[in-house]
Amino acid sequence: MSGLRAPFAAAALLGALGLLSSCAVGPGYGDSGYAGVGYVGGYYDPCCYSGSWGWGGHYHVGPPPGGGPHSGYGHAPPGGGGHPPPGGPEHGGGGEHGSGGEHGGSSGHGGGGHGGGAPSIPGHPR
Amino acid sequence: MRVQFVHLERWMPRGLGVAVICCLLAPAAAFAQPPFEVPAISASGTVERHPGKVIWVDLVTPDLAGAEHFYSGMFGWTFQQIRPEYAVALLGGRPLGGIVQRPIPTGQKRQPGWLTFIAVSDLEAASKLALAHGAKNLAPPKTYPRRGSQAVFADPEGAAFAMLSSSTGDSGDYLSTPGEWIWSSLLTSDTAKSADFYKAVFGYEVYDLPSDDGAQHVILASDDYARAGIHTLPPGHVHPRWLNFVRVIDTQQATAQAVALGGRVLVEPYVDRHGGHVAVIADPYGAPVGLMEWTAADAQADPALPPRPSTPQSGGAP
Repeated sequence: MSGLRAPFAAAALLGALGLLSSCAVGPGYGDSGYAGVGYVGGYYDPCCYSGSWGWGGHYHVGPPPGGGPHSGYGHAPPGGGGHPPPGGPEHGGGGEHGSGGEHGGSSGHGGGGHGGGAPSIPGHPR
Repeated sequence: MRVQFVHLERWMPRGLGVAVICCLLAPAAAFAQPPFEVPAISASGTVERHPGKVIWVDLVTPDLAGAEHFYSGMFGWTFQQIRPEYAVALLGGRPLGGIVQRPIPTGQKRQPGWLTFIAVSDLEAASKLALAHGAKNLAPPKTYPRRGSQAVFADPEGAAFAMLSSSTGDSGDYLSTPGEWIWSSLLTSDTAKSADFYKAVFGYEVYDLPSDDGAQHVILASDDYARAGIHTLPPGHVHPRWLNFVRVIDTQQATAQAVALGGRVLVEPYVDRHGGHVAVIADPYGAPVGLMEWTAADAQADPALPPRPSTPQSGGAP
């Protein structure tokens, strides 16, 4: 009997260690994205910033004005196409990236976008 | 049984034996807990879909109570505790995000932040598209009873984001009230590559915006609405990330409030392209949050949209 208990104990120990390691090791990119008993959400970015972010003035991150899709901004034409980029390939729609070291300049993502300016965020209040 | 246990001790110390038993029982205890009851995305009863819309955000922080104190003081949010390590933030009774408490692993430098959840109709199909276009899966899909299915990815440039297929549909398109999320921006190293990725996965229309700062700025739109922006990483930034903005009435007042509550100002208020002020703060644990004014002049009513059922309001952003 004691000869059977030794393998049992060893197997239990190995199993427990394996279970522990599986709990402790994430995918290695910041954090596993799981919380507690398995909620997928919340994620630690792998690295950090320090001090001021150092932008302002002309670095604009907001949406266009207008408060809606048609307020002073034309709606993109169906099917897109838009204005072709000057001297650069069009993005989307199978266009090639990186030729000539450019991505089509500052315009030309195409494929449904560039007819009359960008829309804005929803403008209807509650 | 007594004899067997004595024999077992030959092979492992009693303490280790107890640890092994506890570890074996722990998963069973976890399974015995009730399901993770996160709130539904849409409570309107009409299952409308807005693929590409940012419909949820989750903050990961090492201090849930401290984060609640900060965001309550900043935006008037209240909190519903779901688990000891998870709370839902509400404004006027409406859920607008979650806060996840997780310890930062000892010796590791990690950045607390808000994870951006983008709506998809079919998570499996969208996941395949994302992976085929260079994304990396960070947390596999998981389904929650009232929420739907969600999974976390890093885009090809490394910015983390999540996809969510809501089982109750997506929230409607309305102008955010002060204290609610109003805008999302991706700061990335290659705007064109990122735009192509998000367009391929979410079907966005992509618009380039004029720029006088040497950076590239792109708008991602769906349903004829701007959903997010993509911007060249500002000088000095090396890690692509999503940044979400809360609507505030006064960014000057809000940034002062952030400092008073233990946060920091990362970008001082300035006038953005829409005419209102924008600023970026960090909460006391370092998670960056954007602040955005949206004036009445900008917030023109859109007669094409139906009125949203009103719900009681409480609190609010400065």
